[in-house]
Amino acid sequence: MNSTAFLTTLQTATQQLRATAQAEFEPLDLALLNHQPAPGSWSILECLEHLNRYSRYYNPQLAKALTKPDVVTSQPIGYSWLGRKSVDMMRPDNRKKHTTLKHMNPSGSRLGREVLTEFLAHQTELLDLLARAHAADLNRKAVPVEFFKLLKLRLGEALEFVVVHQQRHLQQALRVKAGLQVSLAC
Amino acid sequence: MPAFVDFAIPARTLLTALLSQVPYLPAAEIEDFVACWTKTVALKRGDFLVQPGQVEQYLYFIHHGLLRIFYPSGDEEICVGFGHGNTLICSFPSFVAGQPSEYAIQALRQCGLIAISRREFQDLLERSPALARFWRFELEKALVGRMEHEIDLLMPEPAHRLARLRARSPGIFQHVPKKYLASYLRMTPETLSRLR
Repeated sequence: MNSTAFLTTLQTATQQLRATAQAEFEPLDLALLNHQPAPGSWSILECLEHLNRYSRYYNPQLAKALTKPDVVTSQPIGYSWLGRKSVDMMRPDNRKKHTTLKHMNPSGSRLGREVLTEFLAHQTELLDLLARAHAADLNRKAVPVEFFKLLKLRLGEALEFVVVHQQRHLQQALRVKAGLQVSLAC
Repeated sequence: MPAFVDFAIPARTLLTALLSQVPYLPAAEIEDFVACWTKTVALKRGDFLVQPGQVEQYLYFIHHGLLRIFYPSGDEEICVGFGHGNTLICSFPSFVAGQPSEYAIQALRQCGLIAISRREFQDLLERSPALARFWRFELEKALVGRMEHEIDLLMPEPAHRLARLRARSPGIFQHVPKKYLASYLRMTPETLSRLR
């Protein structure tokens, strides 16, 4: 895939993430947003807080990577082994469960509506980063991995990772929402 | 696992929030209704909510946990349904007819429930058309569910029964232990393991 098509796909996906989160979660009562479907399994706000913690790290890192001027037009997207692996692991259609790093696990925290506001702001930020990325070399190794900063992802890989990871947990949050209705067992 | 020391207030808050999503239920009626859920029941794994022979006097709302409804038949316990968080549960035939229950309801995990008495519930349904409409809607959903399950059981192939349940309630496989699911689908646990 060339970089223009690649970025356009990510931009559309991010716009959808923002629109879905706003439409589906904003109307919900705080008690429902905080409801854990099973002990230890994340509430809607915990899903979003988990993503916020990633965005708090990756958005500034991406912004930093984008300050370095590149002169490129469209280019084919390549992947490193690590990048391919990270993206494939996080794709929402990959059903495999992964363990969350402790500092990224918000389980049990008391969360308020500001988590949703922050999530929406991160999406706006990300859209801005994606727009700027059209002028950047996406194959440049530029973004240190959150849990092991000596490893770097290519700019394109890092952007894709952030988007698919968000899609994954947004789907999780939507499943939690689907369970937020009374039913009768008899 | 977090300990739900006092879940009665969170459970009422949750029930209120869930009912508030129903567009035709007026807030004042939800408040009156939820205020009647005064009984609190905490169960440990293995405890019974309802024993066979008991007359069902309550409708329960499960705040957290997992329960199974089963029909004791000889030395077999036929699993007919499950209740998890956000579910209303009762021994239904006994609840509507006031007859002793043939079914048992048992906790499969630590559970927290709140309950409304049958008497108060029936009075409220008489007084509130909106609540009656809500209850009718719940009964319709439950009836459709029972019919789906009846078709499950009429399927000669265990694989088809499993596929139908998987399509209908994908989440159930993560929460309910396999041996109860096997009983619910009328197959041996070995068959279920082989199919999964």
